[in-house]
Amino acid sequence: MGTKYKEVFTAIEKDILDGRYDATRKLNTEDAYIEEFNVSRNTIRNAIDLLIKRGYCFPIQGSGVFLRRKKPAYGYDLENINSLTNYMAPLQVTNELLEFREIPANEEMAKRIEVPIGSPLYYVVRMRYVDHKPYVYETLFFNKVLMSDFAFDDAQGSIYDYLNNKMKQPITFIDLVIQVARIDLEEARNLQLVLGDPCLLVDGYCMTRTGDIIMFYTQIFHYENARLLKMASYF
Amino acid sequence: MRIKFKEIYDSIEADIRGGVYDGSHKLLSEDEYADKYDVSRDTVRRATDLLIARGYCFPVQGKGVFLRRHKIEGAVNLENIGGLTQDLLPHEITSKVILFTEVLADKALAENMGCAIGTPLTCFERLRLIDNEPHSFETIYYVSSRIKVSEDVLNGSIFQYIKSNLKIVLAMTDFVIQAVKLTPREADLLDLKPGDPGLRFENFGMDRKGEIIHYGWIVYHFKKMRCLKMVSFL
Repeated sequence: MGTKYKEVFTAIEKDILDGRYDATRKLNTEDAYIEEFNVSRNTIRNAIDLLIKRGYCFPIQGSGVFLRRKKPAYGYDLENINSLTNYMAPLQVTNELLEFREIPANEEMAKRIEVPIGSPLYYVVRMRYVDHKPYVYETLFFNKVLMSDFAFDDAQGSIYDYLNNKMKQPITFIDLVIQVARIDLEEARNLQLVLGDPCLLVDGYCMTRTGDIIMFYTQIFHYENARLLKMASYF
Repeated sequence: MRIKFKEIYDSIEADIRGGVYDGSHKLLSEDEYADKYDVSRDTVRRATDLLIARGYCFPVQGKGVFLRRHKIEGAVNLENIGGLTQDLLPHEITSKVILFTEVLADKALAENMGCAIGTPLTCFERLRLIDNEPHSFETIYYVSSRIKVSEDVLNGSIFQYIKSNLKIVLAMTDFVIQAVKLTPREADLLDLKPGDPGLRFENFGMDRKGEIIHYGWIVYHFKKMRCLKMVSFL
């Protein structure tokens, strides 16, 4: 039961992202989904509740569940921050791995990841493109102690997919701090911008269910090509 | 019932923000809340489920519900972006109305507000100051026939006014968050230079049926605004 509704959620989420409901802007009825997935009404309701919480849709009493406004192109939804690659589909996401090595935690990283100074970290720098346009420059620090074997190839693809498939404890929480800053030379060069241009600067702390920090990252988003979305509900 | 769980949610949320649990980093037990609010454990659970979904806390099986790092100095939680006032206490927040006028919807506005081109809109611009220093510059549009706002309302909370006086409840807001270069006018109002960075929130406020109540954008002083978003995959 616990995972069944997640499966249904994932299937309907994919349908929404793929545009299956674009014509009607409305989800199917509970009955139609019961038949489609061959599960109980409760399971369907739990899946739809989660879709509502994540900001994909909203219920209108007596009329059904409707899709929320169409997301702007190249927007990255903060509720679904776990995989740029999946979220941007069918737009192509390509990654360019700029750095990958093991380093000892300095004072700042030790504090952020909550490990002793000198603890082993994997340090990864990547440039990511959406639809061949520079989108985000990211610097990631992994707590090596919590990682099984992590290799060069793993750092090139979707890191969330890697963590969620290979780790005993998947990422359950992410705390993000979002601000705007001026970009530095190295970031500007990679993002094809000019020193001092604005950027969205996001710090992320990725945690397991028990609150242990697996990874800390800093993302610098291209100010013209990228935007973040937050779908708030007050019901 | 529905109202009740929301009231309890609001009350526990206020306690979390007020630092009631800062010592233990842990919520009370379901039984303790059931006693305190005189409601069923089911109602308490609905309230804590929402607190978990909004990222305030997380459950550890058999041990209770623990607080997340919801307080980062000076950061505003995106779940409460309307409630700037609460997150920035004890600072003094004031507003200065820059413009209050009526305009006709052009193509872009009509599209964003879901109305016909030429529909009369009420537009206002407001500078918000924290401890007398410019913090953000806000531009908001309302469909005039639907939301009648007078200038004196603008000095207080418009959301509160719309809710209590017009009985229109804001049910959802879509935010599009971007980094921008400030225009000369924005820079002047925010005490910055044209081309300096700005944090821009475009927002679409909607009622329960998804119809637009307000549309607009806020540009924040880049050195004075940080936001917090807590994602949960539970």
